[in-house]
Amino acid sequence: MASLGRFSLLAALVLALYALAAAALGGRAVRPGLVTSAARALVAMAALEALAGGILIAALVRRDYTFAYVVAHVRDGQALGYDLTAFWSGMEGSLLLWALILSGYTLAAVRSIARTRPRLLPGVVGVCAGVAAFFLFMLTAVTPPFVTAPFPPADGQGMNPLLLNPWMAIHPPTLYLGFVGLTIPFAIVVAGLLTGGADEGGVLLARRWMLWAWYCLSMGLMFGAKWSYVVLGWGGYWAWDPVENAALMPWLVSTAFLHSVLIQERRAMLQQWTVVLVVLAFGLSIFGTFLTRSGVLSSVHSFTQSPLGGYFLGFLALSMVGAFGLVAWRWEGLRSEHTLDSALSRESAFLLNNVVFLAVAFTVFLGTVFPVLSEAVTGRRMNVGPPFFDHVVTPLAVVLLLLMGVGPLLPWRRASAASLRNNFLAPGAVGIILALGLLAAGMRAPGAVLAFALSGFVAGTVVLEFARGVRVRRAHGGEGPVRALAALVLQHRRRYGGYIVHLGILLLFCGVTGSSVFSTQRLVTLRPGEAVEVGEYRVRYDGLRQSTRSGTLVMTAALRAFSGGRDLGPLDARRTLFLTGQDSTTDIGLRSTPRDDLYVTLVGWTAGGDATLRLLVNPLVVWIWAGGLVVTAGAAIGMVPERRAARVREVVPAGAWSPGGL
Amino acid sequence: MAVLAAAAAVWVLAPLRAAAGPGGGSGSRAGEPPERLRAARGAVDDALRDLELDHATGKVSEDDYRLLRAGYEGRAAEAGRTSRGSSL
Repeated sequence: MASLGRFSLLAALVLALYALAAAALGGRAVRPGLVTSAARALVAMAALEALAGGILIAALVRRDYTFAYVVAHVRDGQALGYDLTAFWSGMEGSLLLWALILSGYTLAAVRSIARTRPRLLPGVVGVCAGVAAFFLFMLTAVTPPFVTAPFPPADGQGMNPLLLNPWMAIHPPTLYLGFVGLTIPFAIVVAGLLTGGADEGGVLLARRWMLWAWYCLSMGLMFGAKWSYVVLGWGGYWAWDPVENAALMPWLVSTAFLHSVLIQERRAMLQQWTVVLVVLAFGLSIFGTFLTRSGVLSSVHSFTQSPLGGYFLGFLALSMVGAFGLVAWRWEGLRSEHTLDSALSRESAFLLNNVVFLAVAFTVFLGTVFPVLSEAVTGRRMNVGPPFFDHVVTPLAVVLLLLMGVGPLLPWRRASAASLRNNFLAPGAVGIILALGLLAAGMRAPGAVLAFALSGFVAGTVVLEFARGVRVRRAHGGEGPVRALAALVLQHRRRYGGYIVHLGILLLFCGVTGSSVFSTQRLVTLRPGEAVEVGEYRVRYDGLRQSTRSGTLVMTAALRAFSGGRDLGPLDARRTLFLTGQDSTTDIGLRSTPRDDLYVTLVGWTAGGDATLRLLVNPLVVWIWAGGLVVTAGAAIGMVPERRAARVREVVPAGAWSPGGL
Repeated sequence: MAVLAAAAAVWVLAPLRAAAGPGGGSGSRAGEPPERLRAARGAVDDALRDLELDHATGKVSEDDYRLLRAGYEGRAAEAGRTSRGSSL
């Protein structure tokens, strides 16, 4: 079976290279037959990749230790679910998953583009084939998944225990769906540039794909944060780790794109800028993959040191030089007819929003690669830690928060004094009243007061937008408030979906502020029966329990939480030691409420039964996860097309590219 | 396996033979597919609908409303002209 897997990947590579060449020739010589043949080659390529994926999954599930990959990532006793997630827990499998997702996206994109924008088809097929060829080359020549073990062992090594968690099971594929999704907008834009300029329709098509990729990246980041919070046991959810940053950078750039493309649609401006953002987002997705796989920067998430880095850098350089060369070639054609009418307009606010998003992305990029840069220049590796990111990114995030409230309320073209008063009086009052209320309640951290007051202001702007829309609908149609609200959202899905996303980001921002500024932490060693106060909680340690199960030793600190004399129930914290190696995992004791999280980690213990515990009270963490759910709801609304085009039979002139052959 | 590979190769290469005859056609001469035109028209409709809402909620001044509306209607008319042109 391993040889069939190898053959499948090799044949898929040949097909990808054929598709690349046929699309290039077909596009250049205007030979539709070649382009259709190239698209069909991608279908066959996808089928072969699916076959390879199926072979690997079967080997993992059957625990076939003749496969080196299975030996490295599966062991007897490992839950079946994790045998499946082992597919992407290793370098080779994750690259195969990447290729599979790309094929799925490519087929969907080719089908839709053949129907709506056949002129872009050669370019889209060619770019997707080129990217697929690179990954298939890696899978066949550099890091093949179908290597056989010369002496198959009786048992495998199993996955890294830190990965044996449901959040880590879904975090990587979700992130890949986002990373790989950035290839399609890139292909559409490159195809547009090749055929004479990224026409508006092409960019709008790219927007749909970008929105999906953005949503997947958002969820991937959220799942990763949740995993970090519940598995790593350090009490936080974001550490500015290089691999976290690798996913954050394309998210920031794609967020900037989703705002700038609105200006392009509504005001026919920023076309050059939106095209650059699409190229940049794709480049950062490859750069992120390079960071994760090259081992050039150490990270808790990254794969081990590998020879892949050079190949990824080469591919990144090639694709960026090619794409930016095309952008430069078409630069004048992309120039917008309109210019900004006023600094106080929605266009200006969105432009500033883009500049700040890019500034954050650049800061994160610089901080992430600084160790490598410093080593290259001085010979000494210098790291910048979370304080650097916190100090630079926090003020920029506050500016973004302000713009999130200001932008949607500003009118297109220019704002008058009357419209400013009309739009900002009520939300501004909400923000000021909230600030005064917080100060009166004793909140003394100025940053937190500012952040919450701004959040109140932004929430006020969103509520005002909904209220005005509902009022207008009721005045014109006489609908009830609920019906008017539903109709409003359904008729303006993008706009109101976007506002709901803003509310989700707002919740997330409040959660991050609360948990960063007001977190309380204690590290204590307790004897059985002793208790410790942390925040408004009291935690009693009742003793240590020891148990063994399937090659592990589990130490459990029996804890009970109280608040104001009220018994909140057990709050056990565990540490699992793997007897076969040095690994251990943490099961935190966690009690979550909308107000705060009581979070306990078992750090160590003595033979006498004393336990060392880290206890934290993290305010508003639940708001972060709730924000993720609200973002999901808003993005789902925004992704549904506002109208479904009635299907018509397309009358294509003789000889034109026809989607029917795909 | 060999039969499957051969069948796949025939399927992938078949369009080459089909297009080799006279009238191989030119993609760039192809008419604008109706769905593309509908998408262009739909984008203008979206913009107009949003503008109407902004106007109704008092977010756009009367002058800017007229100017923006004229711009969108111009784009809609252009899409319509392209549509008619492509059907000739």
